[in-house]
Amino acid sequence: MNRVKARIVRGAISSERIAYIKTAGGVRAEVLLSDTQTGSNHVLAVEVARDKNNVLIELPQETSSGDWRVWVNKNQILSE
Amino acid sequence: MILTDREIQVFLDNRQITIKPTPDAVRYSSTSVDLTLAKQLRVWDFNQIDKTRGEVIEPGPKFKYAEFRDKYTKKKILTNKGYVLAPDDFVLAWTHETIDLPNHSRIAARVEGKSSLARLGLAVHVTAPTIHAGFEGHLQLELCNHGLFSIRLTPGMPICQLIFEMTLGTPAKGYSGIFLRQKK
Repeated sequence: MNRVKARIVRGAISSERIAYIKTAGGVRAEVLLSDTQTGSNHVLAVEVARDKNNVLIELPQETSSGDWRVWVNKNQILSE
Repeated sequence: MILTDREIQVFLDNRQITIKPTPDAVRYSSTSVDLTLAKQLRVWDFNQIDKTRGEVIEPGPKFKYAEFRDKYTKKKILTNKGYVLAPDDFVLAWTHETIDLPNHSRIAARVEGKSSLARLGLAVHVTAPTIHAGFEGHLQLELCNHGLFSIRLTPGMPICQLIFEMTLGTPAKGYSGIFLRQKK
């Protein structure tokens, strides 16, 4: 399990958090999560694959654009 | 395979499924458990919608659902009088209970309507009933009244049912996350 850098804001209900993750393609992916799946600056995600510069992660929920898995730059990974 | 009430209880005891607060015994059927309606709804803000009448939603990489929701809906906290859902009305709601389906527990679930409410025309989701392994949190419901009569929604009413299914094997992320909970 990885901690992936994200901007976290509070959501519509007490347990909801909205995470914005910078993808390798430069898009800001939005994903609605539980507070148990986020920290103050990260989301929990699983590494699925990696190449030279990027890591393919699977998020705990589908993004607003419909993706479960997104590529992020490896510098977005805070810890493994 | 769908879990029966006895297996659901075993999985709850083993914390392979967590439901908080724990449902009363009366909330179970042979193959499901009912969840109840939370106090909070998001209802459409028609003043705001009227200002942007004709706007087209463009799902895609740049679409931000939370911003859309915050712009066009407003929070409504239910009292004991509840909320009257008129015919064709559509609101966003949540279950009072939170659910936790750990990746490694090999469980997924479906949220479905209750027949007693379905007969009145109440739908609880819009074609997205699957709760994937790894889910944590309150379940979001998309409540729509397809019936001819208004329906009063009150906090705490049984609103939907959960049906648990065992997966064939453990998803890849289940192996990666298997030790996560031990660190908490």
